[in-house]
Amino acid sequence: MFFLIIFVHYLGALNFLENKLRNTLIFVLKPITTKIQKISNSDLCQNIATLSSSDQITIKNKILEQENFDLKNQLNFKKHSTSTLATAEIVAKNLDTADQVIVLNRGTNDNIKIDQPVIYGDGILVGKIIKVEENISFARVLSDNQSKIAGTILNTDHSLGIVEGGFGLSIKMSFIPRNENIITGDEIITSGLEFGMPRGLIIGKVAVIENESYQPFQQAVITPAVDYEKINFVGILSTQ
Amino acid sequence: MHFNNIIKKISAFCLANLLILLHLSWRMIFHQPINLLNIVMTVFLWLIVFNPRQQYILIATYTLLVCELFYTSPFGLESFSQISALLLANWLLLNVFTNRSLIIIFFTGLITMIIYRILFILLIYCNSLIQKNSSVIPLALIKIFLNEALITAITLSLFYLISSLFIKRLRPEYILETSRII
Repeated sequence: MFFLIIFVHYLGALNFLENKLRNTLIFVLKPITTKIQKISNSDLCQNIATLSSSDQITIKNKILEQENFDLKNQLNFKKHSTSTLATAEIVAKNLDTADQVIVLNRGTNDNIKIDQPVIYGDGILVGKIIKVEENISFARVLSDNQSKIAGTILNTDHSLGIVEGGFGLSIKMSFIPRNENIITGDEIITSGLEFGMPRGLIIGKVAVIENESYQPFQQAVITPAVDYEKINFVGILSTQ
Repeated sequence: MHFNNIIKKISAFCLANLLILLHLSWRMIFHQPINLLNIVMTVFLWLIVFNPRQQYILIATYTLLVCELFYTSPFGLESFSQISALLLANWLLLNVFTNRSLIIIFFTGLITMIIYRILFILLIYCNSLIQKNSSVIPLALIKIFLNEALITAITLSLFYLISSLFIKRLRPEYILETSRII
C-alpha cells in the first residue's frame, strides 16, 4: 500500500489531491503561526489578556505598520529594478531538520521557476527557489548548508567568493584570495556571476575574518542583512 | 458496533491531521535547537510503548506521507525511513527491551531516531547514485541529527514519565490480581 502510494505519486496521479491537502493544511496553519510569531516578535510582548481594547488596537497597528514598511520597501525596489517581482508570503517551513527552506504561496501558476532569487524589502537576498509546485514553491535560505551563491565584497579589491550557509546557524564567504584586504563591516552583495542572479542584491556584512597562513584562501563569517526567521513577506525576482 | 468503528476511524483521521498541524507549527514557530524535536515520532513512539497496535502504524503511514508534502527531499524517503524505524522500535520493545523503565524508554527513543537518520542518509546516498548527483554528508549535519535524536528521546522519556503517573498507576486490577495470588 505504502509503495503503491509512492509509485502513484511519481506518476503524478495524486497531484490534485496533494495540492488540495497541502493548501488546506497551510490555510489552517497560517493564521495560527502568524498570530503567535507576531505576538512573540512584537515590541509590546505583554500579556494580551490583560490589555485593554485600545492597547490591542495599538498592537494591531504596529503589526500593520511593519507589514506596510516591508511592502513599501519591496515596492521601492520594484520601481528601480528592471526585473519583474512577485510578492509572496511565507506560509510554512520545510519539515526536514537538516534544511533551511521556506514555503511560499506562489507556484507555477504565477510563473515561478527554479533558481529564481528570493528577496526581502529593498533588495536583500534571502535565498533561491529550489522546488516549484502548482500553488506553492520552496526557497532555500542563504543559511542552509546546501546554499551556495557567488558574492562580492564592497572593498577596494572587490573580492570575489562563494557565500555558503552553515546549517541555519551562520553564513560564511569562502574562496577569498589571501592577499586581498577585507575589513570587518564591509558589505557583501551578489556578484552577478551566476545565471539568473542579478548583481547588487545585499547579503550582509563581514563580521569575522579568518585568514590562516596554512590555508590557500581566507574566509569571512557574515552577519546577514536580515533575520531570516522573522520575515513574513518576500519577493521573487524573475530576471531575463 | 459498526457506527462506533466509523467514529473511531474519523477521530483517528482528525487526530492525525491535528498532529501534522502541531508538527508544522512547532517547526515554524520555534528556532533551533527547540524545533529539532520530532513531534510525530515522539507521539507514535509513545503510543507504541503504551499500547502496541497495528493501527498505529497505519495512522503513522498516513501522517508521515502527508508530512512528506512539506519536505524538499525526494518523496517517500523520509516516510519510509521513519516507518521502518517505528517498526523496528516496536520489535525492540516486544522482544529486546521488554522492561518499561525510564532508561529503556529513553534508549528506545534514541535508537529509533538514530536508525531513522541512518536509513535516511543511506536512501539519500542511493538516490544520489541513481540520479548521478554528488552527495556529501558533512559532520555538522550528523551533529544536528544527533541533537534531534537526543531532544526527541528526552521528550519521549518525560512524556512517558508524566503519562505513566496517570495511565498505569491508577489501575486497580494490579492490586486485585496480587491479592488473589496471596
